[in-house]
Amino acid sequence: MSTQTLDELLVSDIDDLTALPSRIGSDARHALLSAAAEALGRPDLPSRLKLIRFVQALAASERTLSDSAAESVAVPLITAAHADDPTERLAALRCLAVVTSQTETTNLALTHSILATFEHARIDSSLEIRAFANELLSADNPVFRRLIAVEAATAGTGKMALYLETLLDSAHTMSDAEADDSNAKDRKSTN
Amino acid sequence: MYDYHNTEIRVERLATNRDHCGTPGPIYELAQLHARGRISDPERDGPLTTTDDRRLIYAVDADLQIHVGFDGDRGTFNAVKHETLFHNAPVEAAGELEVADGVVVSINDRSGSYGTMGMMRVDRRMARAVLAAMRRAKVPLSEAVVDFLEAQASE
Repeated sequence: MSTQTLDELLVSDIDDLTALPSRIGSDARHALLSAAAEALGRPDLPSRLKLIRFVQALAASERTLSDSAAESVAVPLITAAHADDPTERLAALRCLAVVTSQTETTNLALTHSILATFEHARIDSSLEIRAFANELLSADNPVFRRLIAVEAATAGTGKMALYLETLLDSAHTMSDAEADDSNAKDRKSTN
Repeated sequence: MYDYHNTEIRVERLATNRDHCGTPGPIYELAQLHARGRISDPERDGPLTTTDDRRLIYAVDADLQIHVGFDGDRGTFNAVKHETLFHNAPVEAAGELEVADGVVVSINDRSGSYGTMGMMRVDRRMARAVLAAMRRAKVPLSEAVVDFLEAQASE
């Protein structure tokens, strides 16, 4: 899939881009994902949000993403998750969450980078981003569980285990009602 | 919340007359279509059955109201699209519903406008909002849809 073809596709409406992955085969999706990952690193890209959402739709359509596919797309998404524009940061975090949930990775370094990105988002200036990061890093969130599984499978550094302990400690000091109240306030503030 | 208003995607559509925030409708509150344990077809007699040519899109707002409409062709006059359902407001969830004989038999999170693709699996707040909104509106759901939503909401 050439960059020119991707550029041509990105002229389409996001609705058409979102519908495309379910109409093409897995090989074509992988080719597009690879081209999109490369394009995410281009500073001259006219519509980064559209590209990130296209990547999200491609990832969501896959049964599983390979390690290499996940890494190629996760790295530029991690960069995008630190962008100045909060809309781009949130879109990148959401896309990264979908990519993580679709990947049976064994790459410990990448896993820790993703975790660090989510952790950093918990202190973001945007309430919506903070709320989403808190959701992702809940002990029973499937994305967080996926990250923990990598740690377990690769006998990692124990960073996840330590993180879980911290989560459990905070759970003891914050009742469910308090947590719900806090989430509700966060959501109201973003309206 | 999933936003559309402040995005470059909306700006691009406005420039090409493909934004449908201002389409008046028809938009339906799903709770109002519920009759005798079935979702009524708002435009025809009897219970609703969706088809590929009559796809039903939904969105859930902050008050957990569910608005639905029949997906129109973007760029055509008065087409109903996701951004139409709450006239540009941020939403808790958006996607498509498949309805057979007045019962929701399938639900997804596909909305280009709100960027919700794949989010039902990773953002439990979204699944919880859909489940709570469906229950509040007493929407008839197939067992498979209930199981799916409960699994996504509580994982």
